[in-house]
Amino acid sequence: MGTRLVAEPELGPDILEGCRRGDPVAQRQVFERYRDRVFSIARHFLRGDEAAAKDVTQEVFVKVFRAAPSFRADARLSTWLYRIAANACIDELRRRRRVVLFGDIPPAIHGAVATSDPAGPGDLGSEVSTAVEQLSPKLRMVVLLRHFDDLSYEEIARVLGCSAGTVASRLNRAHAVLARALAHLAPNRPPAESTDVADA
Amino acid sequence: MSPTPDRWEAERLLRRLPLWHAPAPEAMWTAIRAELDAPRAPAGVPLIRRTVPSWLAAAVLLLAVVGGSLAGALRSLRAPSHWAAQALAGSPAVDGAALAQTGNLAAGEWLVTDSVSRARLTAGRIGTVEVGPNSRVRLDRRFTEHRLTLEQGSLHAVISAPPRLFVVETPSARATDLGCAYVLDVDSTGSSRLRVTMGWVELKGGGFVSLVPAGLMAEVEIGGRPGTPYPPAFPPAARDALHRLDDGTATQADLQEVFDALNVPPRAVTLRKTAGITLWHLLQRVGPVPRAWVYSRLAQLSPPPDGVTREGILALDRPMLERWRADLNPMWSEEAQGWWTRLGRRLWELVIR
Repeated sequence: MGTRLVAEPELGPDILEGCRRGDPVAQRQVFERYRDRVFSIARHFLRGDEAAAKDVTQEVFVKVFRAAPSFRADARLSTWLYRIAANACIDELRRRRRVVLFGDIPPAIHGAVATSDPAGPGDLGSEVSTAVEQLSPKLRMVVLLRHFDDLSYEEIARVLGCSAGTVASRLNRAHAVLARALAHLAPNRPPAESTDVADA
Repeated sequence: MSPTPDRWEAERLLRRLPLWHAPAPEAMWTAIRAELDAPRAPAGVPLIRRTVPSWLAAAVLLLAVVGGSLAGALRSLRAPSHWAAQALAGSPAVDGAALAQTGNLAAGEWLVTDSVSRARLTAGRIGTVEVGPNSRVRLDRRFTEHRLTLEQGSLHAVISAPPRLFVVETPSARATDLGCAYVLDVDSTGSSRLRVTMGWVELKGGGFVSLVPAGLMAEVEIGGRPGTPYPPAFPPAARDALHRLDDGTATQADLQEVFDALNVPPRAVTLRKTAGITLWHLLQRVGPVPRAWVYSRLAQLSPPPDGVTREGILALDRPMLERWRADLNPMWSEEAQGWWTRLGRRLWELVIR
């Protein structure tokens, strides 16, 4: 845990072609490239429910590999994969809401991100994470895609099937909500752009 | 739009998020391979959700409202006095007369096939029923239902109507469509065997009910109650053990036999949840002591959802049982849908009913 995932180039056309043919080696490479990202997004989106995040992650890759033959060559695999992941997360949330008639889903029942992070409860990271988990699902997904995976507004728009303007609007609203929730963590003045947040 | 200082601070804090990327368990790959290699369940969910623009949703709503006003006129479509019949092979007969290439099966008439004949019945928008060889099928008209009687033989139903509008009676059971496709066989003794390939079917007999989802099958004898649904690949020994559990003559070894047969890979999510439906039925068909064992096994396969407690399940609390069942495998009518989808389906039901 604790590894920053930097943006990586798209997988080559030979890998995609292998996936279309059902080649396990190519599938494994796609899995290795994206598994931590998908799992992390699901884990945060589902408020730390690790078991559900594993199920969602597994479901995403099974769907991706089964549908690979219909994947269009002119589309980006990552966009497609993130879109399936986003839909799977939202479906999982809807499935839960069928049985939780009042209020949002409860905190994680199989372990929570906020309390299982190495820094322990009450640290800056946990507070930010908890605040993100309190966002509405739409805002939460946009924040995760933007800040977990460094997707551009246009990429997020393609993943979620909305306009870049909608993405910008949702991010703006999310930041406003988070700013209120995390106001007690803010210093008196904005730090310089180059400040390492790990030192904040 | 440039962020205000406090929002800027929120963005700065959010940059910490990538530091908490959690590694996905390595074992997940094995589970994915297992699921990819397993026989594939019928696909029912689109892989990519198409976002409906708001203007399109509004237009669809307007059309739906206008269409709703025509519902009264279309109600004549409901429960027609006859179904279209088509010979697929051999020489099927309707009420003793050979069926030409196409014809009708009227209410009260029998469709009979010999060992080499097959026929297809079609009822408007309700769906189609393929009748297999050596079968006797009668159309029974009901005010709100489309009902067939399968006296013997087999049929394959593919139904697109809302749940509970299509019913098949057999000598031993009543199969009620809950939005699905299935194969129903009746042997010479009148015993029925149901295998569901899509959605759910309610199998009722002797005052008892089994709920059979896609991927499972169930049997019922004349005068008996529907058996616990099980996967078609169940070994014969496990089937026998399951029958003894249904009959109340089982031993602990029988339960273990069933548990072993349901030993699906822990990460095979779909298979795990399908197997869970077998155990969900068993919870209600065994005594208090084995029920606790079944509970533990089911909880291993798929943990109970929020609000479902061990004590409640062991006491056979109906809402909790239903909640767990829906969590294992939701029915069509339980799927969360957008308001336009619900409205559209409501109008469709009005038209059909």
